Amino acid sequence: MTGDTHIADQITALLPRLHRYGRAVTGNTSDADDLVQATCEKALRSGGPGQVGVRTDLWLFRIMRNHWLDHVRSAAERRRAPEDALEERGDGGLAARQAEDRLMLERVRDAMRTLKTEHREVLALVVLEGMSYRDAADTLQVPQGTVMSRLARARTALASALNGKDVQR
Amino acid sequence: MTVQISDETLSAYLDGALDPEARARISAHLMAHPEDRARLDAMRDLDDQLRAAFPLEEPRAQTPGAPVISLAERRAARVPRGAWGGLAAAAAVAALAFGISNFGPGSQAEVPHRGAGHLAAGPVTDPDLRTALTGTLSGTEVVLSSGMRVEPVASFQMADGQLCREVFATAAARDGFDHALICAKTGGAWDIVAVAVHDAVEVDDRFVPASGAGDAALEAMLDAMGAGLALDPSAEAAAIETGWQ
Repeated sequence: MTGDTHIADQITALLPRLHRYGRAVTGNTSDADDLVQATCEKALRSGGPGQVGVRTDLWLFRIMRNHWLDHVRSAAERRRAPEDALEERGDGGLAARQAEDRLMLERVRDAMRTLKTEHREVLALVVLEGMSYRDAADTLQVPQGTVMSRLARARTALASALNGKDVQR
Repeated sequence: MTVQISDETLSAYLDGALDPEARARISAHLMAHPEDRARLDAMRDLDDQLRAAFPLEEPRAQTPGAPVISLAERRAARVPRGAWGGLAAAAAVAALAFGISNFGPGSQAEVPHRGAGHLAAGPVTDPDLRTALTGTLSGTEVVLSSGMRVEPVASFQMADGQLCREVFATAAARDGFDHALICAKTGGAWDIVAVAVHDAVEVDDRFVPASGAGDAALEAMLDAMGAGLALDPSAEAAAIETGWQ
């Protein structure tokens, strides 16, 4: 069980990152909760990355992404659940911020929700996770060049989604 | 000569994803082209905003500070999110799959565990403690005949309807204290389902509780059992009336 225990510990340590990715990609906390839970269960059932040299974090992000694409996305996107008010609860620093900043962050999350899934996930992996293009390509199972072009388009789309809602920016 | 720099190149430059030669070329170009520097700055601002909008949630295990106060606040802020909501619940999936003793390196929620105030997982055998659990409102400290001091801090109804109480117990300050989740069984019996041990550390000639790593596991247990909001005093009074059934 040593190997399994190791994986459970690693997954536990990665939970905040997985959850952030979930929020960025799904657009709301409860879908992120479901996605993280399903990812953990799947990962634990499979017993580990399998191959030597596969990083646990990349392996988990890949499981999570595939699960999202396979099972959750269609239902969640049909529902288009508005961000639940509970979102604020977990964001420790938020309460202390100025209302204006809070509004700004909410607008960024709103803008993120309007993007295509492929744009949200590449932004989450590279900008939020700080992954290299190579690791992101590995996670998304596309060539590095695709990550590069997709990311540029995603940034443009995010900027125009934000600008579209506020001419001052 | 004017070179047009694509969004793609600029974006890759921002991410440090260009090869050294291309990177040097773009750096030189940016020196001479403030309008492209502005584009780069706008991209960087956008990234900063995105990161600010999606912070990493603080792992609950790292909740610092005086346990009694922070726990009370956490209870007050507790929001029911279904039997499997949240990070802690996902951690519980990981923990339960391999036995909670493997929860993590400093985990103290192993069952059974002999605690500072001598609470151990399993049925409550001390009749004094049973009486205290059954008849005491949260926030009230009771001294048992054994000398143990017990204070229920909150009560919860679990997803299956079972009522449980979160309790602090200590014998003496230098022993630290136990932080336990104790659930009502039929017929006035109580069952200790999780114990987090807070050892005492000596600071300036005083004993203060150290933070308990097991608190996170206890919290995960609450989530895993589908705990709702903490019962308010009138709901607790009603539970005392009915013997927590």
